[in-house]
Amino acid sequence: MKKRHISTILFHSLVVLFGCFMIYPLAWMLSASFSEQTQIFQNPGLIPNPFILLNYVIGWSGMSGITFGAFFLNSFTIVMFVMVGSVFSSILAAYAFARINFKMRAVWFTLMLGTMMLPMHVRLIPQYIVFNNLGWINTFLPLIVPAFLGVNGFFIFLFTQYMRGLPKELDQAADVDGCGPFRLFWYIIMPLSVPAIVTVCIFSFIWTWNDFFTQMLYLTDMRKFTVALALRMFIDSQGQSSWGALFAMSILSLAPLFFMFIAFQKYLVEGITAGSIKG
Amino acid sequence: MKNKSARAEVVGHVFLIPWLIGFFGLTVIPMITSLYFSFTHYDMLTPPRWAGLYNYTHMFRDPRFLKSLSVTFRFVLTSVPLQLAFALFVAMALKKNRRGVRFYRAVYYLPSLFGGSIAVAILWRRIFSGDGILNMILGFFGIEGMNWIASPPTALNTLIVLAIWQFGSSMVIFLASLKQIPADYYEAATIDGAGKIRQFFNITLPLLTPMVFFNIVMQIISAFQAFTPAFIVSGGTGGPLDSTLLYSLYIYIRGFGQFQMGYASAMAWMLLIIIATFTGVLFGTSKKWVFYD
Amino acid sequence: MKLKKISQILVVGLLIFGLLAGCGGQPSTSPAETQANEGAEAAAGNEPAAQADGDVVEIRFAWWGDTNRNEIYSAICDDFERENPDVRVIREPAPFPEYRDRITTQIAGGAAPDVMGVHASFASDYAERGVLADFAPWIANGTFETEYIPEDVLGAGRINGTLWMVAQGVTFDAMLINHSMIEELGIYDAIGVDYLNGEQFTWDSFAQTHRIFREATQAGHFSSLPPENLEAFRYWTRTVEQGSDIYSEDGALATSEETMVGWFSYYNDLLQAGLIPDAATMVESRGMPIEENLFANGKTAVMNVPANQYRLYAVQMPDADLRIINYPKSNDGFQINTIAASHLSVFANTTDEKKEAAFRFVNHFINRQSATNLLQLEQGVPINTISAQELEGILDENGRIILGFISETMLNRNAQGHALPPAGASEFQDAFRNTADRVAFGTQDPQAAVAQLISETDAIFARQ
Repeated sequence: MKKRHISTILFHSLVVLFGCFMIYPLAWMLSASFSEQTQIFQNPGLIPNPFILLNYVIGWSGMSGITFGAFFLNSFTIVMFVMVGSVFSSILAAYAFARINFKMRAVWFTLMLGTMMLPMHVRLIPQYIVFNNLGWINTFLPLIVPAFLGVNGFFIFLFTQYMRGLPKELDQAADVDGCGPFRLFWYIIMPLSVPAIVTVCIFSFIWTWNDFFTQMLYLTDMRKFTVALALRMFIDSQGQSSWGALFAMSILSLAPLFFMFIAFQKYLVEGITAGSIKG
Repeated sequence: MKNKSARAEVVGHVFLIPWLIGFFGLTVIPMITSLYFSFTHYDMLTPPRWAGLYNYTHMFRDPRFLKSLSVTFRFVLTSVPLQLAFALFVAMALKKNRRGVRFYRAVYYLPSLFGGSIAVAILWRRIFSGDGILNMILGFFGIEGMNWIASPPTALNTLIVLAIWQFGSSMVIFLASLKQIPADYYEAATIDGAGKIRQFFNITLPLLTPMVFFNIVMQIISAFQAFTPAFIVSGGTGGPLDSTLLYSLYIYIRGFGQFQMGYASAMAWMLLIIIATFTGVLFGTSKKWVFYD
Repeated sequence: MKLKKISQILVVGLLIFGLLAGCGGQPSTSPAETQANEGAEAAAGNEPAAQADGDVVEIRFAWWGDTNRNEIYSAICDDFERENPDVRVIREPAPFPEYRDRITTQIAGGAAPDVMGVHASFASDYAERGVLADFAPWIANGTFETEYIPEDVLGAGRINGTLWMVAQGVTFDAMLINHSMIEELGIYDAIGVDYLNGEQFTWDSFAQTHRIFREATQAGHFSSLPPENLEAFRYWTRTVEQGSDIYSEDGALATSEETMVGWFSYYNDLLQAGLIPDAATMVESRGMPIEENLFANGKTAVMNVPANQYRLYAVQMPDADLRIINYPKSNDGFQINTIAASHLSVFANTTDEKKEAAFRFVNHFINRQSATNLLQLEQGVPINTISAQELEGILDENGRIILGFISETMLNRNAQGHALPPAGASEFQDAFRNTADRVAFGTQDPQAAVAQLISETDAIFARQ
């Protein structure tokens, strides 16, 4: 009993200690967002002095009359589509790679991995040409459609690995029951893959939310700007940067990510315990 | 039986339809085009001019290329194992549903939420500069620090620390698969008198190997292409003395900075070959150590 | 049970995105957005709408900058549209570090903007590859007026005799001095601040001032002379060689080996004597925003900046008495000042109709008083001399200081244009920075470092 007590205390103090390193940037940013512009870089501590809310007001007002409300809406729109699209396309492809034995499997899988190995900067121009020919410049389509077509191999590979970890007996059992691959996928494999689905949701949400460069390239009209893009406009390395507003809006931008993570991780770690099926 | 395999052929491709459309519609064309560019002089503003193998042979006479290669190898070979070990360690510590553990998980994931934002560059300077927080702490113990972030021998290490600090995605993947391991395995082991450490090596690690494998492959693929940390911390230069000139950063500098997209493309395809070799070796050895059920 | 929950989540997710998609389709209904200026409103409209009113020409205008500049440039676009109802300006701002990459990608991808801001660092890379439109025919037919633009200033946009771009404003690289700091240290007399802007302010005396400052403060650094800064090096070259420049007109290196060795030795001597911050501190300051740098935080008393940035520091350091002074003269008293500018250009491969509208817009931007009053000193002093004079009345205190300094330099301090960096200059800049690093970190002495730089540079420019 007592031993357990000590280990609990030890656990919490260690986790908190390390947690300080993790949380420091957020604490600093939070403090900066309530500080006066001139104080942000001069005040070494974490307590704003004086404490002001103005940065949030200025930040939210955005630019050219377009408020951050619009940027948030744009970001959410894109992210929702990308999340759904990524799960949809990746889980289908992964099922084929992980559970179906067909001849071309190795070829496609290798090519799929290969597409992840070419650095993005040399793909930008040809990609831009493709999207320009489709007339998709300055729309959300170049950001959304690729997700529905499984362009991010990371997610496919993630699902594949996850599904390969699921017991093979499931297939045989399904076979015996006369259950085809489609029903097996829909009724057995997909529900069992909830932790992986949640993982993909979390990653696609966060990565898309933060993916400044692609958004900068394809969205040229201010009204279509996303949060990540609008945040960048606060900074000018050669001019007057609105640091206060930047940090205030960065905090607001982190909030959905943070809460999404807290909400989703429940499913992440409480996914259907495979043990009950295995046993 | 033959009928069945023919059916699998069809079914497999049916599931792959979205991906196949994306592959042929959105991925193949840019990749082939960039392969073509790699055999040309291409400044992006005028049409490419055929250069044969020039870009590929030139590479090995380019001292900055060789430097970036060694910087990148150092980065990959250090950051990937350390990051994964750390991620696994934290995932193990935060696996059980104790009180407050959900909040802790979110806190440990926080650094990954920052991505490559400008704030990270400022923070890293606050921590690792001459009068930064790290030196303050070291000074407390009577150790004299240095400017970690801008000295050639240590600048890359600050980027490695940054990569390790953003270990959240590997942690999440480990967490998800740790939860997949049935509790009764551990119960049985406990009855057999196996300690925690033996349980980890005999149960947890073997069952985790598919995801360990996944994380290693993915981290290697992405670490070889790491760009943003070096870009924001060094202000896009790869300095000082090219000590943070990661491969992708050099591709960017050559391609967009110096208008030599042909050469940049050739370097990119060289990188693809390097990464593919690493990945190929990993897949080759995986049969020996990755256990699928 | 679980399955039900998941399907619920999915359904809710689908509903949300359906909803959002609905909203996204009609951006103009959001009340916040009706506030947006009419031009952006129109610009956001779909292509068919624009085509519907037939006579309206749409041009796209790309610039880099922060939120503040967005307001200014958008207002100028509005102003232009009011006077030219037949043209609609689509605004495409981007943050500076990625601006060039986006424009380059757009040009390569066949979707370049019609009017674009062009930074000196890639101006020739664009001009020499035929991306930019020649101004000459549009000056000839009166679309672009040059009557009140000084020839020297116009010349800043000329490469090999062709005018590819026009300066948005004129500024000079200069030095900011923290006067209060010097006074507080009680070394006002020892340094003799007044001399800094006078006849005796030379490279040698500048170095000497570092020593005086050091003796007075024990550990302080008077300035953090950036050895990799090509603008500072340009001043060195032009004063030491009395008129020559870093690059020649025909796209090669014009500065001599001796001059370069001189520059890096000058830096190295100060460094070795501990009179300027160490190499790592110098490297670190490269990526720093203004607010973080040594000068703004009262660690050094001198900073090399373009004169129009005076305002930024005045705002950041409200308690300090700041002065702008010109760069040092050569040791035998030769002074020269280089006109610095960011430019506007028109894209070469666009329709004549759009080109006409684009040049009309550039003309408005440069020559209309209403536009100048909006622009003020955002890019330095406006280049139309009449508008610039009119502007004085509406400037604030900081603005008048900047205007005064730039005008004085322009008129009385041997202001000259310079050859734009040739194609390949960005590669040279990288090589130059690495040379500076090798000297700073002591891996090579200035002589050897420059020898390596020269062999690298020959290869770079030979390839162009």
